[in-house]
Amino acid sequence: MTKALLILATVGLLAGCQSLFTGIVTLTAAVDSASKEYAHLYNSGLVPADVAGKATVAHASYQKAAGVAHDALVAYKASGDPTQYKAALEAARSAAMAFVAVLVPILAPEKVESLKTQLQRAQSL
Amino acid sequence: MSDAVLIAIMNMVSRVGIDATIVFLENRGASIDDAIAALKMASEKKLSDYVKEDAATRVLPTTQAPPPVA
Repeated sequence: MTKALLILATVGLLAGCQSLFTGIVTLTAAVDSASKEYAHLYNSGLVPADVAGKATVAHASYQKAAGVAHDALVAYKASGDPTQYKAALEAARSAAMAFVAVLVPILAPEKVESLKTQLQRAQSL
Repeated sequence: MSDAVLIAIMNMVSRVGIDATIVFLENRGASIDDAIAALKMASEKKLSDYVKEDAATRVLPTTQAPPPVA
């Protein structure tokens, strides 16, 4: 019985970690999708100058947060210490949400809903 | 994790063993290396890079000379 519980705990922990990693990939994919949509609108001349400025700043913040999260995840993989990566991942999530929020005025409503759904899925994982 | 999922995993462990079960769980979602690669790409690609890539995919006018008139 004890062995069964130990196995179950190990499997449960592993499954939980897999959800976290899948959530990270989902998050970056959502921002990638939003960035491509922005680029298309920008090249079509449909992005006001003020939105373009805010989008550039917000994306740069997301890039920086993703870099910190990357380093923290690499350190976690090497050491097994989850202390730093949880806060770093949360910061990356917040930066991603902030970037999408800047794009809301220029994106089609269905695209906004799709992105919000993807980001919510990434947060729930 | 729901009770049904836990029961299914336990059944799988009983049938195929813990190693195969862990492999199954690793394959059903992203691995830590997938997450690391995704974050690396996210940290390196600027918004201006997306703009350049989109511009490059747009149809460009041909520079080919028109055929001579007979």
